Amino acid sequence: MSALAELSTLPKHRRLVNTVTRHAVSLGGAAAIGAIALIFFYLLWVVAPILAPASIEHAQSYDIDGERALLLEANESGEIGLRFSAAGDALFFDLQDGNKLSELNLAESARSVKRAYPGGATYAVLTGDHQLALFEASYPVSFEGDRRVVKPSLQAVFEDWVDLGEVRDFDVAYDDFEVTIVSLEENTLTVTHYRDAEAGYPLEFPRRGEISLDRSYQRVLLGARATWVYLLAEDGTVEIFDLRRKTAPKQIYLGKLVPDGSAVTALEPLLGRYSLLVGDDSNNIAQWFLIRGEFGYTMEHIRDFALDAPATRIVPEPRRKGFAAVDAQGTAYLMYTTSQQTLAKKELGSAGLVTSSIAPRSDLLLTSNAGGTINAFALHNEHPEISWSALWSKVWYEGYPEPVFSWQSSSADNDFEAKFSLMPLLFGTLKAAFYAMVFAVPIAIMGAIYTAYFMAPSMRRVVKPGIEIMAALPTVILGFLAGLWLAPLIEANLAAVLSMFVILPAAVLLTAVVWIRLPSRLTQRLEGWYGLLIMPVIALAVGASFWLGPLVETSLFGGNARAWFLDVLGLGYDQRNALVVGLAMGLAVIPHIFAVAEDAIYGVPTHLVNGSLALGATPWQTLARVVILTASPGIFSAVMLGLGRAVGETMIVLMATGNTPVMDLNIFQGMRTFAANIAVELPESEVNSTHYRILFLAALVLFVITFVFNTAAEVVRHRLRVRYGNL
Amino acid sequence: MSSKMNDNGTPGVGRPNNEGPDSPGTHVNESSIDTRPAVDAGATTASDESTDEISLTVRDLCLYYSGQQALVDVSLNIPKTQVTAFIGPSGCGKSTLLRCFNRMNDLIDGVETTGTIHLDGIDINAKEVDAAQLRRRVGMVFQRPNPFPKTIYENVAYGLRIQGDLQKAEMDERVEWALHNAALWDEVKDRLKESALGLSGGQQQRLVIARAIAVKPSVLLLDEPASALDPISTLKIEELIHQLKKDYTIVIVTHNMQQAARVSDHTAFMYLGELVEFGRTDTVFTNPTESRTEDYITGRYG
Repeated sequence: MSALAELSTLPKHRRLVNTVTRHAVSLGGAAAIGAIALIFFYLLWVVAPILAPASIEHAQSYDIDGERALLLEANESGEIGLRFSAAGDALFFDLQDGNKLSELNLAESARSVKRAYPGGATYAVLTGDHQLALFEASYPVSFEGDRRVVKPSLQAVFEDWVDLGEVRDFDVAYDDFEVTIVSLEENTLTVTHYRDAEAGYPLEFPRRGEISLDRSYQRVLLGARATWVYLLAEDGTVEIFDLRRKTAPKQIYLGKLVPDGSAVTALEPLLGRYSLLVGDDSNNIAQWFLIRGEFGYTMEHIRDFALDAPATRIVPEPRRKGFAAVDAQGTAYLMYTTSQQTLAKKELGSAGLVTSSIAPRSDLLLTSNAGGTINAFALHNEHPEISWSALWSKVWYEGYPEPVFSWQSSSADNDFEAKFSLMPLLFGTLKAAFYAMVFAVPIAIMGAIYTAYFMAPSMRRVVKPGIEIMAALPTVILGFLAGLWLAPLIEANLAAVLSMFVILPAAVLLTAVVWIRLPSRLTQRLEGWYGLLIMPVIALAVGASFWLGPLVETSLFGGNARAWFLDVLGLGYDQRNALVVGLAMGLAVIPHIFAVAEDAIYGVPTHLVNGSLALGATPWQTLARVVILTASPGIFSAVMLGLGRAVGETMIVLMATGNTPVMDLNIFQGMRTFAANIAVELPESEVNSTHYRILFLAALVLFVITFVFNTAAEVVRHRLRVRYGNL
Repeated sequence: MSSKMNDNGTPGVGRPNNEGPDSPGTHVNESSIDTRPAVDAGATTASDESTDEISLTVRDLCLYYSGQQALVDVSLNIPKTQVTAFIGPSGCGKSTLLRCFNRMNDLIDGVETTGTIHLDGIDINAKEVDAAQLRRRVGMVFQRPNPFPKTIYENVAYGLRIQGDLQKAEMDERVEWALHNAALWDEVKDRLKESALGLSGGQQQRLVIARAIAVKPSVLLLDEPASALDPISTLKIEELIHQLKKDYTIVIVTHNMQQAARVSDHTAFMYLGELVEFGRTDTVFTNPTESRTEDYITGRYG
């Protein structure tokens, strides 16, 4: 080998190791960044459909027999249509091709067909000769070979017809073996109530209530759970009667839903019948609902939706708090109440709509015109509940006296209005983190200062690893200790725990005073071991607090601390509260803050400390003016690290907060954090539902919060280091 | 040199209008830079030092690190307002001795001393003497420049702030005065609010000297102050020592014998914890009485 060759090439195996190492390190770095980016993009990918626009597309037209439709329905799967016609027929037809499947004649003629409240496939048919009966449609599925066949059928629910007499309008509720029929005549409201109404048997033993009216109304509409009834006139007058005693309706409200001079052009109840959607001739649809105030019930005007022309038809969605509206120019709109938005708009073209409805899955809008033609429009409207304001602003939910921030994603009720405000969760997250930090930061940083700066080296060698090992303690253990042991303990000994905040520091200070007076020969020998010597004092102080607790409770808190806080300060007490979480989560983040801060303080160069001492500074002055200043980037990092942990911590908050999404700064109240909320709700959330995607959005927000915190911390730390750390 | 000292021993000479000893803004008389101190011809040792006023008196000082003896019966008198250099090979105890003068050894675990050190007649190890107060009178500059991560101004003002008895205007004056005396004022006067960490090593070391003299100590201990610096910066530090000795008793530890010869009036040679020879620098370097001194100076070991 020539001398030059020897100099210019590395031996083969060293070159190989170099190359492999270089690539392995680059790959590892890139993979770490890639993994983070991947998590971010996955979250974004799940969340993104929330932002997808809604649409209305014309799908099909069916010309079946030209009969005028009174009511159109689609079944659950959107395969079969049901049309009730004025001729008294009920017709099932295939929504794919418009073929008749079966037809049934119910009566000579039909005057009106309505869906019976609260929903499902039960219909009330009023014949031309005032007879009323309920019919239920069913769509059993069978298989002929491999072919799936749906054989729809329509059956009378009860054996007989009910004679309503000459009525202007009527409404029917059928639920839980109870039938309530309200019917409106010229100046009379009649309520007919059947208890123990069992399907397949005659409707027997009606109980009737009648009330004569001062004015004339055109419509009658049952309210939620048939506990009240609305009477509506074209000029917007509404009168409401309490129906809790069916035979004795009682007026609870009389008012107007449109301005004077305006007329109602369309009116329908929203799902659940708490709200009325009122279209008037000033191109507006207003949402109103009944709330119970201090002075009885009032109808509140909640929000408005603007149209291009007066609404002629409002079609509520069967399962959500949304609706479609059609205006006088034939434009259809998709709207949603909670998020207060117009999601889509479409020219329907065919004038003279006589009836329309939305399929149960809100994916199909069926309309029928005067000529009997049925049109099907495909609706793409997956996540109408979400808008910026629904997530982050106060929203006036149904039944609430005022707009609030609220998180309530599900309920046992089908006609429930989901409340997806992220504010209570954000608030809870920050509140839990705040109280944890209030507890952890002073202890961790002062502990770090003491350990790094004052403690005897032999003691430090034990203490530092000891505290760092605490970081490895599974938080689930801390969580259940906090939830099952600490929370009841604090609840039972609140006065003792609070007096500890006074007795403990006082005892430590007292010890310090005594210490100074001890002979210096003794104190010097024990220098650096105060940490150990103070332990019995702390134990004694804690013991004393519990011993004095009952005394404090009697003398200061009138014998019951929790009641005292509620009565005197107006602070309610929850067993699982921010105090418990602050202590438990504080304990979890202390080791993290301590470890980093201790390293930073211990790492302050001795020559700076000596420089300060050599100028005549006392150890305390040196600590305050040089050591902490120089270690400040590290201390800051430590706090940010702890904050990051506290914000993202799941198990402790899950078990010790009570998970109530309230927005209350009160330390004795619980909260629900983003992380705990995801842990609680994701397992029971329907995949790809709005709720599911919002949980992912919450995860994304959590991710962004941590990212912003960490980035800000890194920037500040970098600046501090440039300023103070360049040693 | 001592004749130039004010009665109360505070610095501040060389100002033509004679405003007083404490007047700030005093600048150093340039003509004195290269003036070698007038030294009596006769050989002096620690024992027969009598012509100079004495600042520090060390008697029978022994020091043990965890039982291991590092200083052995050191006795010497450090003359006031002169430069005394400690030379000797690594580990000979010269820095340890220096650190006894401001009790920096107190900070090290397991250090025990016997013998006495008197500063202007006061036993600095006496029970009543507070180490922090002592260090205010005995300033120290370390081998590595150690400015605090603060502004230039705050670095110089640090020693004053921890005493906490100066008004802002006085503080400004004192900072300017200290920077003048450390020959740094002209270089930093426009950037007092900038971080001291932006200065060069030589500037940082002069800043540290300014910081030390701002509290007006009577003794200045320099522990190898130029060993981490380049030759130009070293020269500046040496010139500064020349000027400062008018007002301060300076004790310098150095590895560099040329430096000791250039800057000091008296030289102590230490070896294995013992004070081998102490006398006028000319004498120690040209006509040492001990053979070990001669061997070291001529480079046979060290």
